[in-house]
Amino acid sequence: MKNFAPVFAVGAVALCSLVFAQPPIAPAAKPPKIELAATELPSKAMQDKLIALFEAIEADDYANFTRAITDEFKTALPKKLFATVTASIGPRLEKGYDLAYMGQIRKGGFKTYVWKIMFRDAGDEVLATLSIKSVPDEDQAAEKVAGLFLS
Amino acid sequence: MKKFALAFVSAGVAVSTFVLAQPPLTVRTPPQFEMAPGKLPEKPVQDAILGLLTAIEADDYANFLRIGDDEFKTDLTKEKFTRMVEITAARLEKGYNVIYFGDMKKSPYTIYLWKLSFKDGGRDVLGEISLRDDKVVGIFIH
Repeated sequence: MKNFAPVFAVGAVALCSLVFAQPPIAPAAKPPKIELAATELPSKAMQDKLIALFEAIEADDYANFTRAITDEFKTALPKKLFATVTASIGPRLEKGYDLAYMGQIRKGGFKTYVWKIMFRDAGDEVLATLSIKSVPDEDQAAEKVAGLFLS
Repeated sequence: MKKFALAFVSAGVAVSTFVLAQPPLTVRTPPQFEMAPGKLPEKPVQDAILGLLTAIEADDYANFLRIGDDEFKTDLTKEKFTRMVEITAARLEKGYNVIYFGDMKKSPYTIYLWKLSFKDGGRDVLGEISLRDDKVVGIFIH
């Protein structure tokens, strides 16, 4: 949480005037309100990216899954761990599913998209957060998957 | 992960007919995309979310617990609450908006998802709460 450490501003006081500067009164924060989330789906490319990941999970295809992910994510998700994920969720994906887009969150240098997986077996739904990072790829930047969290 | 364990179904074959049953061919429709949600949650859910956040901002453990049921009160120890306060109170104090992301079915509860967007311009926070009889039974901050 170092990013959010308070920044203290030091004000200079002119001693000769013997006037002490008073800190300005900060306006009271407006009461929070609850708003609705996104009003449109993310791009087709982003939808395809997500579907491709789920297809790889469904097919237990580690090579395809890791094709479009960052090196860091690949390191964090070895084949053995991937197999655990496919064993748990693959059969449910295979029976069919739909996706509801819930919105986007700001997380450092990532674009994180929040989805809900609604399985056609009518069982519990699963939250999927997909983080995307722009990484240099030869001469141009490519958008790669930096994380997929299922809960 | 037990929830998603494979269920194996054994098929019976009538030996007398010597006909092997073929599994039916299923044509699966591709995943459909939709938007969620079209409206805000019920008032008790909104009140619970804002009540919890106000209690965290004010470092008010007693009020925080008041919104929860008995299970919540047992689970949310002072230590856990203090940790939440340390992480978010200063940011909440500067102002924030709550963006409702929709609900999710997690038997036996309905989970309500929301995003905290801080006016300090920093990272957003994804939060979940579940309610029973208008009392919070769980809160999870991602």
